[in-house]
Amino acid sequence: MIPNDLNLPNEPLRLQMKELAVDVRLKYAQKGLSDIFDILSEEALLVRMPLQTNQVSGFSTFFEKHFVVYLNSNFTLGHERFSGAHELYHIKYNCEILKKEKLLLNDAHSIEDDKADIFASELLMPEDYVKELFYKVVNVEPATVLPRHIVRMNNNLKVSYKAMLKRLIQLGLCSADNYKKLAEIGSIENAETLQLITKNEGYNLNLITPSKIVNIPQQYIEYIKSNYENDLISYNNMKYSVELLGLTTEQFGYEYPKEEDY
Amino acid sequence: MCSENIGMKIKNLREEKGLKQNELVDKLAEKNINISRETLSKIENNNRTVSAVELNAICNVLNISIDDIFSEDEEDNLVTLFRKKGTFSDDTIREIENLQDMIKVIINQERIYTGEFKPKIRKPLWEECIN
Repeated sequence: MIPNDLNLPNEPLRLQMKELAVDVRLKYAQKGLSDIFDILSEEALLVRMPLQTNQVSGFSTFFEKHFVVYLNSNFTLGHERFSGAHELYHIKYNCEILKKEKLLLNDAHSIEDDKADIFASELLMPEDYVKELFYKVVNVEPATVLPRHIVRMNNNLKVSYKAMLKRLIQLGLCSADNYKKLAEIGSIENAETLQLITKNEGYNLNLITPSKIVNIPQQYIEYIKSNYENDLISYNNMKYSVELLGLTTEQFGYEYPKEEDY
Repeated sequence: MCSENIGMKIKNLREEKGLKQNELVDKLAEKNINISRETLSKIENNNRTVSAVELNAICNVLNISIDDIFSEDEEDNLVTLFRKKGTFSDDTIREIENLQDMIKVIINQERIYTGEFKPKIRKPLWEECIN
């Protein structure tokens, strides 16, 4: 029997979201983009920054005529990537709602949020490739899947342990009867155990630790530099802007101009 | 809502739909509402009031309801929106405020870069004194 907290979608809806995910993957593959953060940067102003709160893992907004996606890099990288794929759904398929309501938070449990989760799963863990990879690096019966098998899979697909576990059950590669036991390893209380298994399997801990990165698309940094170099903004304005992004003026070789006294 | 806001609202909604002024004028003509591009410009800049018939046709062309024109604009303020949307702690709201400041700075730099916004750069004080 499938546990309730697995919250697996019905098959027609999953197939519908799979189709959208395939389209999106193909569209960006043609541009040479496959990383979720690169794709988001094409569609919106992507801001990755750590907030000292676990109340917000990410959100999409239509702010001052810009689509903006914010991702909290204080969550693990695996979690952040999933949130990114979730927000990509909102940006691509809920843009009219966004323009009207301005803000979509990914912790409000609406139908569109459920769809966004299914889309994210299909985008980051494509069905055929998950199966191919499973038989290549795990290849055990569904009832005998162990935490280390899931770790192998989630590190290859760059998603969280829990997202991977759910996907394996959804695709019939892991028994739903073992969900509770296997899910425990992904809990905060067992963080050290998961880290140990990850290390023992030969992977780094990037996916299960927060990146705490402060990042915006490079083009916006170029705007600041260009504005300053073309005398459109003052040194202090440029300094304030780059420091807000966790950068320093020295990184760009800028020095305080002696003649500037405003 | 005052006529000032209606004009601006029409302009914003037209731009959101990706229509140029002359394109909107052409589409209005198809609905037997004949106004020139200059008149539309006056309406958008609040130099001329819009009649009920014209407004209805504009809404029709833009595929929006009259309510969309008259609904009060939700201020572009993430803090207000977060307060409205859920129960977030004061700490979270403060962090959202900082994040919003950062986003504003980024968008502003883009506007300066594209020429949409031309900042008035103050001359150095010594230069101002000389002049």
